[in-house]
Amino acid sequence: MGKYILRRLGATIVVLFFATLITFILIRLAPGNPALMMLADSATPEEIAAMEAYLGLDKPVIVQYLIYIAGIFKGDFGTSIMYQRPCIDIILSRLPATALLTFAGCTVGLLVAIPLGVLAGVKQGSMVDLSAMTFALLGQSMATVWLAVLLVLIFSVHLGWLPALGYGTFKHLILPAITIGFPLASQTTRLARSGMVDVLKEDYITSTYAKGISRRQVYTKYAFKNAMLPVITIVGLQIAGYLGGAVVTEQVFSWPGLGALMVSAIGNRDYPLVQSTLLVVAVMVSLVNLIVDIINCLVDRRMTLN
Amino acid sequence: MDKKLLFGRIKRSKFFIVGGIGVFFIIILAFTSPLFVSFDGTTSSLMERFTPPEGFSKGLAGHILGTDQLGRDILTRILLGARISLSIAIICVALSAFIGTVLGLIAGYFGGAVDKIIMRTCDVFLSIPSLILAIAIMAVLGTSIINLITVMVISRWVQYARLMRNQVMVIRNKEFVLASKAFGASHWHIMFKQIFVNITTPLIILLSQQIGQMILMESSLSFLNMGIQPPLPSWGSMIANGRSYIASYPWVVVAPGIALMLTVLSFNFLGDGLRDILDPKQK
Amino acid sequence: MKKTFTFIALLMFCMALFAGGSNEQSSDIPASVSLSDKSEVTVAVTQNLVSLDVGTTPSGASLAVFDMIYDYLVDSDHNGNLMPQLATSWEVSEDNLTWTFHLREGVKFHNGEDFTSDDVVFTFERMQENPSKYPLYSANNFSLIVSVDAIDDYTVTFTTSEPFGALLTSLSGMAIIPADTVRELGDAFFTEGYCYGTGPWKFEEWIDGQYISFTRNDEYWAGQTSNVDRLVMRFITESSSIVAGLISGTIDATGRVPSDMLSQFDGHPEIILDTVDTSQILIIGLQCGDYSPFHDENVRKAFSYAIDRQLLCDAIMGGGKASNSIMSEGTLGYDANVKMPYDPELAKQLLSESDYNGEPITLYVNTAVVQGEEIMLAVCDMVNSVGFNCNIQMVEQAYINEVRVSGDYDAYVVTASFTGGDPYGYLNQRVLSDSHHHNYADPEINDYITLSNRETDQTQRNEYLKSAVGLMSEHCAPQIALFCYEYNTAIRDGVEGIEYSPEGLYYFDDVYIDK
Repeated sequence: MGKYILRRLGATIVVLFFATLITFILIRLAPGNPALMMLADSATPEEIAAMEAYLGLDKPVIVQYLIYIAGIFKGDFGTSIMYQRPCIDIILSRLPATALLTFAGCTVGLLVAIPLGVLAGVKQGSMVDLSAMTFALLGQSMATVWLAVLLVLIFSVHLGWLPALGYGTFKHLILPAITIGFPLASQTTRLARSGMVDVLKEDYITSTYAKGISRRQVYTKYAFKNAMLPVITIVGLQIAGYLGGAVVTEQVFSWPGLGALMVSAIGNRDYPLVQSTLLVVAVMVSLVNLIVDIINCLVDRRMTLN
Repeated sequence: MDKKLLFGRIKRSKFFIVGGIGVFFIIILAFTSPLFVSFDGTTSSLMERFTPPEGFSKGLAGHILGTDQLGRDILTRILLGARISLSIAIICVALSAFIGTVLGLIAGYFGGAVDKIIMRTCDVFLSIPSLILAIAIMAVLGTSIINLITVMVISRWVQYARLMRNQVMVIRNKEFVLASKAFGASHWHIMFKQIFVNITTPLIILLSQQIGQMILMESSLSFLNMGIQPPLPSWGSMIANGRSYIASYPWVVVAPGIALMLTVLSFNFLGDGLRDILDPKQK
Repeated sequence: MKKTFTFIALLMFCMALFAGGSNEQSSDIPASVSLSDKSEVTVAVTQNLVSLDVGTTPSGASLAVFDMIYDYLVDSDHNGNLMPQLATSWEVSEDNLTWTFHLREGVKFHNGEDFTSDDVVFTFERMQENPSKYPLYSANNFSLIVSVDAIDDYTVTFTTSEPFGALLTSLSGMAIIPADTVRELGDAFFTEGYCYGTGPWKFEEWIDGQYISFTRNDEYWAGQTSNVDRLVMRFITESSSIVAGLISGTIDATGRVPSDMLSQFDGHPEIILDTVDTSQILIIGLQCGDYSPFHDENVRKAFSYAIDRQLLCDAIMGGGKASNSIMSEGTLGYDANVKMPYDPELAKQLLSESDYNGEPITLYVNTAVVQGEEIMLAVCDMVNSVGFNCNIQMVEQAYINEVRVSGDYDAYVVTASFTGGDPYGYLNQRVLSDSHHHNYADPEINDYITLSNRETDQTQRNEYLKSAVGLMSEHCAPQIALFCYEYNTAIRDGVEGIEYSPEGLYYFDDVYIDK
């Protein structure tokens, strides 16, 4: 197990390297000069050139990349062009918000979805199953922005129970967490349900019945574990997605997360900030993927051992 | 599969019937819409902004679902937009599923170095949030429809690859596969005729979910001005642009939102129905 | 299996601790619904503050923030008039090259440091030494200032390289910082949040992307009459979120509510709605080079005359004034007599007389323009009905900057406004110097602009500007204007003193609560 983790870590570093390289090249290909963003309309060509030199953009792209990578190893993630502050400061100030939102959203989603999905799969065809599926399908058909604005309209404007936007207290977290959690719950419910349904039909399940083990034990000990395999994969992917991609939710709720930061950085052609934020997000995502793979591995081992 | 068995299952699967009818109806409606719409969905008519839905009070000549912020008839735009949103979603799903599945099968079957390379490539794409990747690529390429499709495929193929690969790994050591190998069957035969057919269920479920997801992703991109460019209508851009008005003129957003929900619902029903029918383990 | 679940649970628990821990540091913004026992006001602005450094690129947010904390040598009343603030009086030399300012005595910074001429000299030289780092330097044309010298503790001179008629306007944007403290702390003065100024409010804290907060300065040299203890300025881009915040009580004031959202305030008499006429205009910059369809004046005129500006104001904006030129009422150079007709028949005729043959024209619309897509789609329909083949593309600021440098565009659409009601910078950069590469140079127009630059008598200057602007409208080049924005403000009953200026900017330094 330990060797596996080490090997995966090595692979992760390679992955991160390529991810940063792709980002580095991509953002520089986009039309627009960050030096121009900093200066007023009236800037003369000399002023623009001076700004480019100041920002380190006058050097060849390869050199810029090497300087950036060398900086990473020293712990220097570059200076944001827009903010004129170290990128890492800006990223770290936004990181808790993203982590909190992701965690809260996933908790809400999974707490609802897994019991619901498993129950639906076990009682396939019943009212429980039907209600669960309806719930799941509804959640997957709603555009994030629509759901978010709807929630604000109902709970904030009409009922006045919760704040419409902002970040700071538990109350502020509820609506954004539901916006993230509802689609996640829907997808997970379906997957958990179908996973249970599939597994319960497997030969080895029938044979455990034959051995005289109680239904409940069958469900929890054998079926559940194996049904969760595709669920874990997809949920892992989703979590990774929210870590930097919950852009719409962050914008509607004024949630100061990394997704919104990256979008505005791209719009401002703030090269160092885009690269560094992406690096941090990529690290977090890779971590989550690593955990998912380890779980898959463990479950797989248990299955083959059985 | 035995035709009688198949037909029997189709009859019994309510999901498949309801979903199938829904999808069929929607597709027909979407692609024949130019024939019966009475308004131009793209030209503005400023004096008619935000006309509330008139229902059938003026027959087919009135604004049945009202007008939007530029006075354009909403029903017309929904129908025209259906064509655009659906076409893009189907193409994207097909392309990304194809690419992802092939790569996932190869990775899972051959294992070793091939698996590592493909999975690492997946990881690289996964480590960049799909919306961010889409925005970055659009910033470079510009906002045409082809670029939109490219961008959405690039950010979505990974899901299929990973899922398929994991599923393959579970199956490839099973007896019937090992037996085929012992008999000298070719790699392609084993991969597609034996392994693939046994793991279609999660793929079909994923596919049916993804069409709706693609439309929703396009709506997120429209929210950030990267999706379908105006004045072309698409459900995504209608919802995104109308979001400010949801409290004052809700029909601008409700109508496309409902159209979207019904469409996604239909595809999901269809997918579930297909799963029920095709499941080889069904007794 | 149990072990793995425990592992995941632990991990999530750790993440929660980590997230929750940092949560405790951010202050809880209390809902401000009833004003009876309140002393705190929360306002919402749509622009984000990027940096606390006084030399940063000027933006609506930065101007509002610095106005709270700092003072300037001269203060703009935001209606085109300049008044003494840290400078009590000033003279210009015979050759118009040396300005002498007499400074106010007895003023202290928030940390107790005395305000003297040294602070003025330091504030300027800091930028002069490193202009790339301080975009304010080029934004306010400070390169025309050769040197700043302290004659004594309360007298300072500015020497310019040529007669600089708009020096006062430029200085009204230079916030004075405490020289000794900044010398000692360096950039940390801003990045670590010291931010001591001489202004009516003290900096409290700044959470990037969320809000900035200020506390009242009771020792303000001009006297402090506000009863508000704390002002919070929230940065929110979504209009619907701002409206929801107003209704639910989290926000007390905002400007720029889109007209279409005003109906949401029905049934909420505690929110007072008002309108502000601004000088912010929506302009279309036309490419006049030979390779563009707009090189032909007939094509430009056809384009401009085909647009029903009044309808845009009435139908889409719910207000605002149709423009006859790129200047607006209250700005120097505005002339109500300039004609810009709405005449689609004439437009059709002019177009047929020109060499335009239906080539596709793309209008690049800045995504930052409020309701830009709506407005420009309507404009496209209007011009297409007389024979044009136009379409729009929504692009970000970076893209607009890029095409304006290369000149690779047919037309671009942005908003513009004139700080201090003075188009000096605007005309010099965009017309005379053609920094946006319109490839249009009319000697008559340029002469008038140059004359206005040198003229220190404001009345004569206005005449020159009127002539220049009038000619621009006649030739429809290099830019045409559609309309001036009218802003809808929404302020909670009882909150007074908030200023939404005609420049389209906002100022909160005079806020108070009237119970």
